[in-house]
Amino acid sequence: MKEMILLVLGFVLVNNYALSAYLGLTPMLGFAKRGEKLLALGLSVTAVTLLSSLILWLLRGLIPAALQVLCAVTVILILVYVLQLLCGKKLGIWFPVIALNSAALGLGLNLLKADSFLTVLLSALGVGLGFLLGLFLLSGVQTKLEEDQAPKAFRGLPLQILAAAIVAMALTAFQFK
Amino acid sequence: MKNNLTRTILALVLLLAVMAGATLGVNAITAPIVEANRKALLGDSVVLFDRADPAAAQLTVTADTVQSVLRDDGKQAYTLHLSTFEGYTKDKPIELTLVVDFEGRIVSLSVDSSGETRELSEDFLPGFTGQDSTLAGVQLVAGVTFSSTAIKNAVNDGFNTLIDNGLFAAAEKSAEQLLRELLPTVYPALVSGSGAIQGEEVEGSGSLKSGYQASTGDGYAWFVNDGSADYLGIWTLAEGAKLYDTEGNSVDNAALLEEVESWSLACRKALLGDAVALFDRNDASVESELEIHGETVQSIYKNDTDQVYTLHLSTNQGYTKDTPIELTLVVDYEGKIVSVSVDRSGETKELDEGFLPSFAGQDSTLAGVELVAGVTFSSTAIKNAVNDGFDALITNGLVAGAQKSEEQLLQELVPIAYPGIVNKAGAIQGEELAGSGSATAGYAAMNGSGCLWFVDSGEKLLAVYTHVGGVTLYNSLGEVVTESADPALIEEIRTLSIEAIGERDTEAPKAVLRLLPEGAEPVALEIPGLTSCVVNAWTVESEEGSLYAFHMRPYGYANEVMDLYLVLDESGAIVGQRTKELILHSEYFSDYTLDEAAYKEGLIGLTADSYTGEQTLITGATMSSDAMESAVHAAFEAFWLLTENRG
Amino acid sequence: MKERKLLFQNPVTLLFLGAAPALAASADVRAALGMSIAVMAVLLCSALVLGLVRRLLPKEALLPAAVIVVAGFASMAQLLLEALLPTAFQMLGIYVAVLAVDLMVFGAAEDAADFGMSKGLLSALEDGFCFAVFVLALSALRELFGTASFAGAPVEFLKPFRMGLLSSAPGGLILFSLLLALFNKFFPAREEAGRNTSAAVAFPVEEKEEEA
Repeated sequence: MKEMILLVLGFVLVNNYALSAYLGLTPMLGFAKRGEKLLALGLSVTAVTLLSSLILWLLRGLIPAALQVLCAVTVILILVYVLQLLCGKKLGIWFPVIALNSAALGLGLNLLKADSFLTVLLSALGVGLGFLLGLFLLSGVQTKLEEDQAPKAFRGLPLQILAAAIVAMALTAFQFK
Repeated sequence: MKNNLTRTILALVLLLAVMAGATLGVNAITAPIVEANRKALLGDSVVLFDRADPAAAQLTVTADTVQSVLRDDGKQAYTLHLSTFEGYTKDKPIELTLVVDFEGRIVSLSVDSSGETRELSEDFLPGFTGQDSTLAGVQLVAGVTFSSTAIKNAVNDGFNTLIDNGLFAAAEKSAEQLLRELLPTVYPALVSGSGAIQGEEVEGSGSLKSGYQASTGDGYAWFVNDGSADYLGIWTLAEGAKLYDTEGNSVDNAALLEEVESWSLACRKALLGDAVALFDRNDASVESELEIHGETVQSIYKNDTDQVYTLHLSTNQGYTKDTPIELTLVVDYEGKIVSVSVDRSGETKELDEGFLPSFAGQDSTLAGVELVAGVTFSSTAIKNAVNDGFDALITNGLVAGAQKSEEQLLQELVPIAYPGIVNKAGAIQGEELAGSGSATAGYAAMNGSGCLWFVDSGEKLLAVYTHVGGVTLYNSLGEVVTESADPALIEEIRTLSIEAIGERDTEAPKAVLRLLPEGAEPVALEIPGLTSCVVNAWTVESEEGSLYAFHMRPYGYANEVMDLYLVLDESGAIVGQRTKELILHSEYFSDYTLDEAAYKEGLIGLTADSYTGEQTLITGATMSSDAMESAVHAAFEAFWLLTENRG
Repeated sequence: MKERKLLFQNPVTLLFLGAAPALAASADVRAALGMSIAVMAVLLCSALVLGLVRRLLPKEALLPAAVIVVAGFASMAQLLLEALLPTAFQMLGIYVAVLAVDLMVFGAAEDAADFGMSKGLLSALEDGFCFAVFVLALSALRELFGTASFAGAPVEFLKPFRMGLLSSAPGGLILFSLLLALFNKFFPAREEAGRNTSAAVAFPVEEKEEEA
């Protein structure tokens, strides 16, 4: 039990995919700024990451190594379309955010070698929650940044990424267990 | 529409097929190159086992961690690729390359990819070089326990693979290594959570080759060899001697047990000196006739050679309540402290450098011991513990209590005589002033309310001067002696004080004027008596009768001064208030919840009778809250003093 | 129909969209070089293929088609890199594969799908060039000052000035942000020629900022 919790927490805090491996960083930064429906976005990303990782892991024996990326992308694409059908409306600009999220792909590929179903499940959960945590942290920072008069060249992205760097540094406090 | 969807899907599937085909095509070209690269990297080694190519296996491999085993006859070594998922991150394996020579000694161990390489590659991995299959010299690294355990286990798997296949013989673990591995189970108190021994190394004697001593001297672990076999000997104060063989079985060897016990006792005696236990909370064998109150005193030992008492004290009042501070106090027969040392404490640096040495030479009054800023909690706790220790010695008639000097008595009087100069913890908040004339030394209060002097005019006195209350004198018994004192002395103190801290500013500040009716001209008031933090007072006649305005400056968070103005009407009810900074900025970050406007509004209308202290409570901002409470109290007190005085 | 964009038209948006591969490749100059080549190749090939097939596909199939095409080329780039530049491949790990879902790549791919092959190819060239310049600069700084080496070879005189932080993830982000600010200063975004790809729609970066 302790190991399982550690595994999830590890991905949320220590190995946050966006902040320590840069995977999913772009959507995180892009959306933290908008500050809208973060929870829904984070949960959709979590769901797609979870399902795609599981499907890929189950299919792992059937896929030739060279075609892993293509298969992973296809699985994710189909999943997002299904999500769209289930929601009953166009995902619009959310489509690329969820479908083209490198966290989902990266994890799917990393986990091909994982040893058990449970590991895959918990890792994917952790990565998704880590994405959500990053979204919330950065959108909090973003609200504060908007009130400040930064030098012009720093406004917008550079400052946002700097903030992400500081959040990432804060998370290193959880490292090395 | 339906047609369109089918067409879309068909087109996409087709595209997918084309891309997949192209990728496979590229793969067909690159695969041989990749393979050739890999071969080139291997050099002239022979593949004994490769998980990717099970057909070529010449070894039986059971461990999942072993990926491949190569033999390099040129270098006379085996190269193993290991991969473990037991590290901290489960998604990426830790990949290791282990090189072992034909003799079974590790040539090198390196990590190919891992999230946490720095500590590992700098401290941990080099420790493997030169080890044999027992890995006796490899110690886990704190901070990266997960990974270092994972790596150690993987290396073990690698060795087992080589040994199981008869490539070389397993190295025997030395008896000492086996016994060492027993320690955590048979004597857990001596071993920390990470498996490191927490104790001092001590020399053995006879069959006892070497050993460890728990820091308190309450237990010992010995590596024993009686010429025929190796044993682990344990002796603890509570349970006596025990003996274990390398398998971990208890051994009943009376001679050796006796030897362990006697040498442990000898070591303990060497540690404690030839002290006699007068009292020991942890040692049931000591029959104590002493009367000990409280929980602080753990033990008292009497040492006639050095003419000292040694006390072990333990207090929970330090900053961290969960780990007690353990002290050793040595007092000579005259009742003077020889030394105070801290055995275990989280915050030792400040304590060790200035605070603990200041105890040396003190008597039971501890007059020369000053609390240390920054570690107030711990230094107070230690001082109290030492006090408890002295109490125990004095009540049992072991040493005589020293008389407190007059200076010390006056010092202790300060919080009562002049509450405006001390903070809530009783520490003086003021700037030191040089004495002159009868005054030997003094302090100017940080909140500007006045100053304090230690006076020596034949009799030792404490003089308090405040802007609103004038001079008050106390003797060392705490009695007010202003009336009977020499008027010249009072005048001297007044002049000296004004010289030191300036004249009173009688003009009412804007903050006060805004609270009073327009055009009011407040008159400065003197308050007959002392209040804790009223620094100024005014009165004004208005249509509704007299109004009293008070300016309070209590010590808030981090002993910063806060400003509060209150206006009271004739009946003593608050009719106006103003605070410059209700919660000092530094405490903003604490977890308080407060509706400031409502809070301030809540003060209006309060009188000394209806004020319970709860109205000024700020949940979560304790320091500010306390300061507000004392300030409001002070205002009511000042009002009472004023009106009582008028009749 | 909008104007074709200019060189360094909006490098900040571009690099933001390509943040993951840029940062992942920036710890070592060799990795950066490998990644730059891979990015350029994937960009050009995807633009070429999408330019060719765009008329054959229904409009709503363009985005998934782009995903599939880019993923295919990313896989091929990964295979080729493993064969030809094994050192860089080892350092980059899965990040070349992650190009398959990189929004920057989609910018050029969608340009090709929307406006035809020639414009798509031009976009690809520019984006690839801009990416390479940035990533090489970033990696040179990170490697020189983070590990006191260049392309794997130790640089002795920088040893005393080593800042371990730079080789960590947060350090990469900090340097990334500083370089972006520098780009912002010298190549400020030109609004009139903003992109209309789904990536740019999803992540409008600093255009909105100016209005506020």
